[in-house]
Amino acid sequence: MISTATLVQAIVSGIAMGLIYSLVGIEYTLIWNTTGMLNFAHGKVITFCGYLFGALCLKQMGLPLVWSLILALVLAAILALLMSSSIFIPLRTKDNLCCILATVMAGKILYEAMRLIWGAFNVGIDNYFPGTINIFGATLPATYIYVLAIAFVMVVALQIFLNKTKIGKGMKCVSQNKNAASLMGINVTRYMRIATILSFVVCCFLSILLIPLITLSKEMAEMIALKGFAAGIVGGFGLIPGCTVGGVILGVVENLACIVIPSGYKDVVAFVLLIGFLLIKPSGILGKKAK
Amino acid sequence: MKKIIALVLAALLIIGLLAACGGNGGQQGGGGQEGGGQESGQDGGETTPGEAAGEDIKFAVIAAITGNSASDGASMKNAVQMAVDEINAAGGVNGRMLVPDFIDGGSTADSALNVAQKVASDGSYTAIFGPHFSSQILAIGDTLSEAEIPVITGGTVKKVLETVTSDWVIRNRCPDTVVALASAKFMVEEMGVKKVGIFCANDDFGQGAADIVKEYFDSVGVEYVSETFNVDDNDVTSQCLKLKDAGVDSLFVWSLGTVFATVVRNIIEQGLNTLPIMASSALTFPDIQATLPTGWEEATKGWYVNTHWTTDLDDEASKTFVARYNELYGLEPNMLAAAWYSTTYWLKDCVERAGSTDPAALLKAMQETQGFETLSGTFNYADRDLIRQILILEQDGTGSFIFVQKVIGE
Repeated sequence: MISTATLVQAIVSGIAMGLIYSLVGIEYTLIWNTTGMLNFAHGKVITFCGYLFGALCLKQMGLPLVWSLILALVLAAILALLMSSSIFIPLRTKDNLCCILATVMAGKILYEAMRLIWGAFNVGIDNYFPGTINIFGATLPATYIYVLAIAFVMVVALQIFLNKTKIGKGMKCVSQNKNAASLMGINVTRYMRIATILSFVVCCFLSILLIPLITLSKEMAEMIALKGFAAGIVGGFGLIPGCTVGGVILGVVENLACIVIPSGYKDVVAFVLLIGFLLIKPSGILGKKAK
Repeated sequence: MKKIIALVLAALLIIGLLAACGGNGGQQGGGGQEGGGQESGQDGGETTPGEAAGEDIKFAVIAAITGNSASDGASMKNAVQMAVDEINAAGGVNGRMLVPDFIDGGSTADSALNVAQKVASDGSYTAIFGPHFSSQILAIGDTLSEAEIPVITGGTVKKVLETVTSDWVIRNRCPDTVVALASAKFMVEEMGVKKVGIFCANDDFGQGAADIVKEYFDSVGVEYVSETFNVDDNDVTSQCLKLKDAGVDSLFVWSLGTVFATVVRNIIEQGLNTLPIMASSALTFPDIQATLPTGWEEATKGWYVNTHWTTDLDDEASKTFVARYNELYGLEPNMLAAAWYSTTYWLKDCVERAGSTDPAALLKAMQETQGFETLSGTFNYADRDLIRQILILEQDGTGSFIFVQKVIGE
């Protein structure tokens, strides 16, 4: 017999994790839309940002939370500039395989750099979203509520930024037609750099949301990175609202499924959903069929 | 111009990362130690100077230097290097120096396969240490044993015991069949459990143990509910709630690595931590403890664990080992480090007893091992196992573990 507490817990934590998948989907969509490249290093970028924030700023430098956040965001932006200038911009016109390999290798470099700089062992960080709350009899870590609220604000803020600001509109123009945007006087490479910085800033926020949920380790974002990709496919590839919808659906469905099937198959649910959409509606929930 | 800038930035990115790599704070250890150790990548290492003269005793150490289990690889490497340095500083083995060749076997069966053939065909090794993990020895045990030199592994899951049956492969950890069974018996006989929540990782380690305890609980008529989790799960709350809904009166928690911290955190959050709990040795690992939530010591008070060794053991050898390891690497050692430190000293003993590094003579000396005292316990060779004893300990509420029982397997 399934208790109400179990059901509530599954839905709330599912939405919270779903919004995290949404943000993962959004951060790689930003780069995909402007450069036409898939960043296969994005899981490692999330983790690297987590190490910058947790291991470097909080632990080694002993900075307060807010200063750690600011410094980590600045360092993430610098990393974004380096990667956009060395990979995303120069390789955008090359063969797709070349671009994929470049980002995979960049991920490997980041991974081994983390191991060599901060050691092979996981890093313990005190939970900065402590406590538990009780909703309809379900005891939930307060972390979920913080994650839910922050992720929701970020998703909305990103939508407003991309649709209402001049920079956001510029990025949209670049994503729709780079040649036309260039002819209209838009500096395409500049917007590619901005998109990469924005994507890496989202990665940084994501890692900060993830640390209280999971241990700061070099594998912390591996599965989340894959599920973020699945969220994009389910919602509509290349569409930021699609990533949001896809992420939430994925998060809730996999949690609800775990109530009725063995929990060990949790990851299978997400990928069955991904394959199902690829076979039946490859354009995703919000995507339009290609003509 | 832009191309030049891009190239310069790319070079800067690589140089920056490599420079940062050079600034390793010493957590890895080993590489910067004095002594004869060398490290080679997957493509193999260079010939050790002096080897041609037959002076050194070279042995391969296949450790998970990279990948998901790199922390365990670092523990293995640190411990072997530390023991080798001590042995060499005291005059070596019959006047010959021990030279470990650290080889990165990665953290997966695939990555182990990449180095297996190279190690097996090298011809210069006296013995092979590792791989430590069951999944890896399952994949490369046959290849390594073809070299016909002793291979020592930490992989002891049921499947390894059943399938890696070459006499050249010797295990330096108590078989999981003994550990899991001893823990289950303790739960029934000492903890008086009636309905157990079996909460194991969905890998060889977790499922191997789950099968053994289920079989035992069936045989003694104890009810159980089984839940699993994946080793890369970041939340197991739904499993905790299902166990709660099932009304279990105790938990059997079995996993290694990062996920263990997640499992403990979720158990505490859902209030299941007050049940009688038997956990795997991961709770005694200082590197895992560092990632547990604040106040874990109080929250897991009274939990039982099983292990070969912990930093809390009161004997002089353990205290010296902990102090020296801490001094060298700035870290607390774990059970895995103790196992490989012990094994290195045991190798020295075997070479001395064999009087040579001839593989057949060395294997014979290894198989004749009886009563060799180590940190991990007494090595008594029997049917490819060096040790069949396990300690059951209780967490006292301060993060330390109190000795409860020593179980010697059949």
